[in-house]
Amino acid sequence: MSADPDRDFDALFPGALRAAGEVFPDPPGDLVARGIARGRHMRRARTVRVSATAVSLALVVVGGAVVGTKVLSGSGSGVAAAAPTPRQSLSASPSAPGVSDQSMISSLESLLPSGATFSDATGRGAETDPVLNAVAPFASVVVHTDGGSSEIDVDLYRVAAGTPVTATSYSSCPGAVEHPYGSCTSHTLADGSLLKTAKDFTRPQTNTGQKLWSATVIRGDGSIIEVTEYGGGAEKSVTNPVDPILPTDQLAAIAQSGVWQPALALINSPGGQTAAAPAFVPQEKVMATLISLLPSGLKKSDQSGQNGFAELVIDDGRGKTAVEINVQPNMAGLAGSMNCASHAGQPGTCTASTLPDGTKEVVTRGASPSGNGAVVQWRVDALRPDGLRVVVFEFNAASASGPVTRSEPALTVAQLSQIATSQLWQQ
Amino acid sequence: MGNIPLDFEEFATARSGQLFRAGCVLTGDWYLAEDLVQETLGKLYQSWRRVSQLESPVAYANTVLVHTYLSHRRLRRSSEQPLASPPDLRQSDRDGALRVALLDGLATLSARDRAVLVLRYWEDRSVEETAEALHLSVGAVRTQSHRALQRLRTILGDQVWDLAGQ
Repeated sequence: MSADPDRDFDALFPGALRAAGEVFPDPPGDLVARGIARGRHMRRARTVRVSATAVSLALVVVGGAVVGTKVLSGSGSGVAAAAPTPRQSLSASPSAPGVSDQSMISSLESLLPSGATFSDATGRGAETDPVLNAVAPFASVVVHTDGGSSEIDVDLYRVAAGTPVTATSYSSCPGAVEHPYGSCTSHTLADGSLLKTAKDFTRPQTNTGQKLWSATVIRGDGSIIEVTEYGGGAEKSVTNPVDPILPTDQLAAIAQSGVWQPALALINSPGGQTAAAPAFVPQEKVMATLISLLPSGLKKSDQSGQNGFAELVIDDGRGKTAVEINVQPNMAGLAGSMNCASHAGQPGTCTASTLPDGTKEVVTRGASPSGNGAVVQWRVDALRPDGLRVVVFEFNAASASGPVTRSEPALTVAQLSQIATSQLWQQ
Repeated sequence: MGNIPLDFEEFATARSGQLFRAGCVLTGDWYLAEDLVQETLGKLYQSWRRVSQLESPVAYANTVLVHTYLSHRRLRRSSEQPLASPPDLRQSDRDGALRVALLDGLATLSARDRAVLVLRYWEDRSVEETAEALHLSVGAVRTQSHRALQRLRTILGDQVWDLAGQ
């Protein structure tokens, strides 16, 4: 052993870091093309922004004066403080939506405690989100008060086009398979909107580390306002489970504030949805189809999910098994990585094949990413020629993180494959 | 590819793998790294005529990646539109376990600390170059590097000595 461990570690670190980077597989084959598409969009957006800058700056000043009614500095009834906004003055200028990167940040800061200081502010106004393929404004700041620090984010977006907005589609709380330590409530507000509040951890598979609290409002018109708060400071900047500074009812008040009306108007306008958003399969259909494809005689529990996703726990009498499924349309871009080379360097086994109908299937068996090496994860990933992708996972535990309930998951790989490749997903 | 300067695509294709892995080390998240590189390439594309004239477009690209990372907002959440799990990075062999332990350790550091470590030790930049890229003082880079390495060493414990055997 060396006499100077610090110096030795410093010398070893560069090589160790590079070696660690090598465990990641190659990037997706279309990443360069997507980067070019992103650059084209940014170039277009920059042209538009230049002409809008003067207007936006003026609006920020107006907004600062008008929205100074802090949600959190008054009587404690945060929702009541939500009304006054610069919306009226903005609506008088239909050509200027008034939703800029800076105005989003200013709006969020106007709702935070008096006397607080802010850092690490970022935001996006009218620019299209390349992932959602739609306008999705957001703002994020780290708030510092005498009582501590939190990162607070607000995200506004719409449910995917064609998705029915129901009490169970977007408002349902996450299930115990992926969020075993979280708590969540959901109820209907007076105006018919749905409010979901949740307390969880930044890394939800553990009950330690940074806390993550959130409030989400799902409006009847399909728009969603999500407020997320990370305890102690910026996301992943702390490891101690300190409570975030704002309780969830105040996050709910931020989500319901009138200051977001210009942004809501923007995302609800025809131009706010720049193209057909991916049409996720409704949660109810995902769960019903999954259950119809399971073998008979299994006890089922802990059913939950969201659009395009379902999870449940099955028990064949020999121990519980968590099953998760993702159903994703428009994923044809992944075709080039539907092979075992994309999983090179990972433990376990991998087989890849192309079925007679052209479906590419990759089967892997290894350790659960969040199971500390003890939990087994079996996965079948099936990508059809039309881009519909179905990925089924199962674990030898009732949660992806354990504890282990049996030596192997309940369903065979062949049974997982039958689920993933079923024609029922295309109906 | 239309009016794209031809060498941009060549550059992006040649560098995307390395940028992606640096993004993975920075974020610890395969999908987030994908978004990060896409955004970085977009920014480079926007300014390619100027960037391509620089002495080191590669270094510039890496700096853009780190800056983008520091301001990047998480766009995908499991509570919104869950996607399939990222590729399983767990390794059954001893070296693999060490690599994963190192990545787990990195994930406990602040974003700025990780940015400093990646520029200094992944990109092999000097303290001065790192300070310039991150708009920090030389002293701040030295302090952050030292503290971050110390913390990693504490987290890794006796596994530090196994790194020597790699």
